[in-house]
Formats: sequence, structure tokens, C-alpha cells
Amino acid sequence: MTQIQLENVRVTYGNQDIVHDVSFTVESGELAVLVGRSGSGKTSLLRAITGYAPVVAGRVLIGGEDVTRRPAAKRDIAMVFQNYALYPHMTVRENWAFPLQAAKLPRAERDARIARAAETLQMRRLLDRYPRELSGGQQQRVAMGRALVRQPQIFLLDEPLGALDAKLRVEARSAFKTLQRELGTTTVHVTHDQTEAQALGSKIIVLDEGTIQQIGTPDEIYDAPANRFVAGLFGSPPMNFLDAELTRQNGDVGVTCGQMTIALPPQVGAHIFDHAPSRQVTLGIRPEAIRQSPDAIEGSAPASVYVTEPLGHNVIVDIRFSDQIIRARGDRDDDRLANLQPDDPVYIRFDAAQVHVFDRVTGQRFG
Amino acid sequence: MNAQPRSGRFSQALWYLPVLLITAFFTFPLIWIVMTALKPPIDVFAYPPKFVFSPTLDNYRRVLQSDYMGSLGNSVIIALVSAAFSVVLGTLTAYGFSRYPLRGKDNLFFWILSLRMLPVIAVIVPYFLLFQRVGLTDTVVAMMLVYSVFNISFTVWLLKGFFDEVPREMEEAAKMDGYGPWGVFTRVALPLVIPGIATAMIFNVVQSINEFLLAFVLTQRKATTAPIALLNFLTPMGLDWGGISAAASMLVAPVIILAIIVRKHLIRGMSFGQLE
Repeated sequence: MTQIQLENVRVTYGNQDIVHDVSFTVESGELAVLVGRSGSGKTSLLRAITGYAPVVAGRVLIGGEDVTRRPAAKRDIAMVFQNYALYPHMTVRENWAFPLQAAKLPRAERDARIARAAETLQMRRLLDRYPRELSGGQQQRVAMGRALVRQPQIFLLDEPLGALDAKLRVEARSAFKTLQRELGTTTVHVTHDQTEAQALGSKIIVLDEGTIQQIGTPDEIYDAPANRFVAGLFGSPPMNFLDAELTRQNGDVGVTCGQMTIALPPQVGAHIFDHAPSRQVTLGIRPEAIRQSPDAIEGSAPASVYVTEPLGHNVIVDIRFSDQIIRARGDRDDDRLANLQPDDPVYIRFDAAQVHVFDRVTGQRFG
Repeated sequence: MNAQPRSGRFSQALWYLPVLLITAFFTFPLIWIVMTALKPPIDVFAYPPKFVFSPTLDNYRRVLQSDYMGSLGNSVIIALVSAAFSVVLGTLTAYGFSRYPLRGKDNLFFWILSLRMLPVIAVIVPYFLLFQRVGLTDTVVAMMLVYSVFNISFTVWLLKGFFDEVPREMEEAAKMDGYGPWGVFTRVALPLVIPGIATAMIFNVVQSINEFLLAFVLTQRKATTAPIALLNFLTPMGLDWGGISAAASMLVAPVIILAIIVRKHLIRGMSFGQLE
């Protein structure tokens, strides 16, 4: 059992609060992703788990044991650092043997583990190279290997894929996910890349300004973002936000935005209407929930094309709508939309089931 | 691919020209000393200077049989022991300054460095009185101590820079890998600053072997160092240029040998920024 629990953890550097009152649990064997912008406190939180960050309040528990005051060496944690922190004066083999020597493992066991890691990471032929003789991707694998051979209770990864180029990053990402699944080691992965977070995590913890914004599965985070920050962080392009007004006609609640009124599902609508402190709200709509058509259809409103970005099988269309630019994702297979040119008129309609309503002041999502 | 264009090779050769000139400029005194040491007395004063002559080892023979050898021995021992002592203490101190929070760290660090900036003349009399009181005047130990004061401050200053360059994460990784502070220091930090240690060692030895003023005042007979002993070649009959050159070339030799031994690290010391 190697569950990680953080209870009301507060991290302070100097007199600056970096992490305030954060609590979450990573279940045994789970792959959790901490995601946030730079400066959100995600690395500090990771360092709180290792024991390198000054935890001034709260508790850190590993496997149910309070380790808040326990030194890093005694927590049985292996970490992959953002800059890899490989020992430059040691070969790959020596880098990997280093933690095993500290653990006083017999030589045969040491060699066996190194051989196995070399196999898994396809590093067999590079074992006697020095880190400086390796490419970025290979160095990244050395860093992974050094964590693997330890067979620790917990893996912590601080943006391990950040320094790789885009193609390699995607490969390393899926290789890592497979590996983690096979090992079943409890893992916390830190990243600023929402795509990476979505792709990897079975649990995503969204952090901003030192506080947790939302914890959930990738789908929950995407489909039901807790607030405007989370909604804007995930998805590429991210969610569009428009100023809108809540309206009620004959008991049906809708959101009006420019010339368009979207009828909300009855129960949801009533709930929002009763709870919103103001009629003035922010409407959020994901690019793929914007339907476009060349002709006026029911519930649609006129707009015009601003620019288009073809992206393989689909196309991102920037649309000028009620004095704002919103981004829609269109299907290139749809012949009527495939050849849209700037300034072409287009009719858009928002998918009512996928409309999000946020408090304009606090950014909290209603519903 | 292999055959470089001729113009490229020519311009490459051109690059060597300034290098050769500068090297010649700096090695000329050394060459001149060795040449003078090998010249018979009559050729030493020849004008224009002779570059072709029949070399003789008479000067070296004379120096080898003189008291100078004892002083040279003193110099070498004082320089090596003081340098080694300073490097051991300086490395530990520099690491502490680089890694551990310490109250008033900056002031303390500047104070250590300021010892090096002190004009030697300011401390000669206090040192002399101090050593007289404890009965260390004219001893090799006293000279080792005095030179260490200067060398340690320099070593701390130099090596702190090197330790600062060692990424903190690397030490955190080692701690997480199960090493205590001593293990982290000896197995991760120390190997990475070897170029700095080599550089400090050379500078310390050079400093101690060249030092004149302190040695002139603090030694009389037994602990005389080579630069002081060179004065003996200044005789009432005039300056023994052949002898002084032979003696000086022998004084330079240990430094050159040491530099050759650690040459690899000296070069790495200059490109330390490329650690990762």
C-alpha cells in the first residue's frame, strides 16, 4: 500500500506562500498528473512530497505513515528531474548503480536490475556512455532508468518530457504510460502541458496560484470544468468565453449572447437561474461544440469567417461573432465548410448540451 | 568532405600566427633563462646575444653543490604542503559557503577573501612578533602556515564558484538515491569540481614558490626559501648570471611538472559551464 496523501499542506519560501492548504490523495498504483502554469506551485508540491520543500503546515503521508519530517533518503521515492540531474562524471551504468550501491544491494542483483532496465528502455548498447555523449531523448531514458532500478514505492516526475521535441515527447509519453501500468507504481507526474496531462493521467489535479482548482478524471476535467481557469487551460484551442445574459421566457431559461439565445436544458437552466447572483454571466463553449453552416438554420446566428487554420482532418475556423473572435473546430469532410474563405458569411449555432455558464465575477461554473 | 578547400586551410594556418606569437612572447624569458644557464661565462655577456653556443652544465653543477639545494627543498615542501592543506580546508569551507545557510554568510565570505587582498607588508611585523613569541621563527612550519592563510582564502573564493555551478538537483537526486551529506559531497559534488581543485592547487603552489617578502623577513637560515637563496648569487664580485639562471630554472621546474600533470583538468576548468 503506497497511497500518497497530502493534508492541508502549506509551503512557504521566505515570507511567500507558494502552496496554500492543499489536500489530495493519490491511490496506490495510480498515475496522477499535477498540471498548472509555471509558478502555480506544482513543483513545490512535488518537492513537498520528496521532503525538499519547507512544509510549514499540514501533513504528508506515504502508505498511511506521516513522513512530513522524514528526510528524502528515507521516503523510498525516486524522482525524475526536469533537467534530469544525471551525474555527469558517471557512465549510464554507474548512474544506475549509484542508488543500488547506497542500498548495499549484492552485485549480482545490481547487475540484474541494470540489465533489466537497459532492456526495458532500450539502452543496452549505451550503458558505458557518459551522459554528455547521449541525445536529449536518451538522457531522459537514463533519468527514467535511474528511478526504475531502485524499484521505489513512488515515482515523482517533474516535467520529464519538457525538454524533448514534440514527436519524441508523444512517443515517450505513451511508452511511459505503458511502463507505469506494468509496474503499478504510484506515480505523480508534473507538467504544464494540458495535452500531456489528459493523455497520461487517470487523475488530474489542476493547480493555480498554490491552490487546487479541480481534481478529476481527464473526462470530468474536460466536460465539467469547475471554473473558468480550468476550462481555459484544457483543450486546444481552449474554450471560448463570451459575455452573455441569463434570460427567462415562459419558464424556459436561456443564455443570450448577441443575436443568439441558447435554451438551456430545463433542470439545469432553472438551477442556474436560481443560483446565479447576477444575470450577467460568462458563456463558455468549446470549439467543437460550435456548429457552422452556410445557411441559416434554427437557432443559428449570422457571423463571418476571420481566418482558417487547416489541421489535417479538421480545421480551426476563427469566426467574428458579435464583436468578438471565437474559435470553432470544423470538419474538413464537410464540403460546404471545406473551402471557407476569410470574410465569408457563416451561420453558427451552439450545442446547448455543451454550453457552460460561469459566474462573471468569480469564474465558478454553474450547474 | 575530407579535403578542405585550400583557402580554408590557409586561413586556419593564419589563426595559428597570433597564437604562436603570444606563446613565444610568454615563453621567451623561460627560454632565455635556460639558455643562459647552459652558456659558458664568456657567452653570457656576449653582445649581440649568442643563440648558438657550446652548452655546458657547469652552472648546474655549481648550483647542485651549493646551499641553494636546501632552500629549493624548503620551497618545494612548503609550497606543496601549504597548497594541499589549503585545498583540503578550502574545499570544505567553499562547499559550506555554497550549500548551507549561514548567518552573515556574505560578510564572512568577503572577510575571508579580504585576507587575500591584504598588502603583505601590513602583516609582516605582526607575523614576525607572533612567531617569535611561539618560537616558530625561521621554521618551515611557520612558512607553511603563513602561506596557507593566503592560499585558503583564494581557494575558498575559487571553489565556491565551482560548487555554485553544481546543480542543486544533482545533489537532491543523490540524497534521494540514499546518500547522506558526506556521500553527496564526496561522490557527487567533489568529483565535479576536480578542475577547480587542480586550478587552485597550481595557483597556490605558484604563489608560495614565488613569494619573497614574507620569506625574507620570517626566515633566517634554516627555513630559507629559494627566492631568498637566489640572493646569494649576488656576490661582492658581481652577479653570477649563469648560476642564478640555473637556480631559477630549477625553481620553475616543479611548477611546470605539476601543471603538466593536471593539464587536462586545467583545460576542463575553463569550460566548466558545460557540465550538463
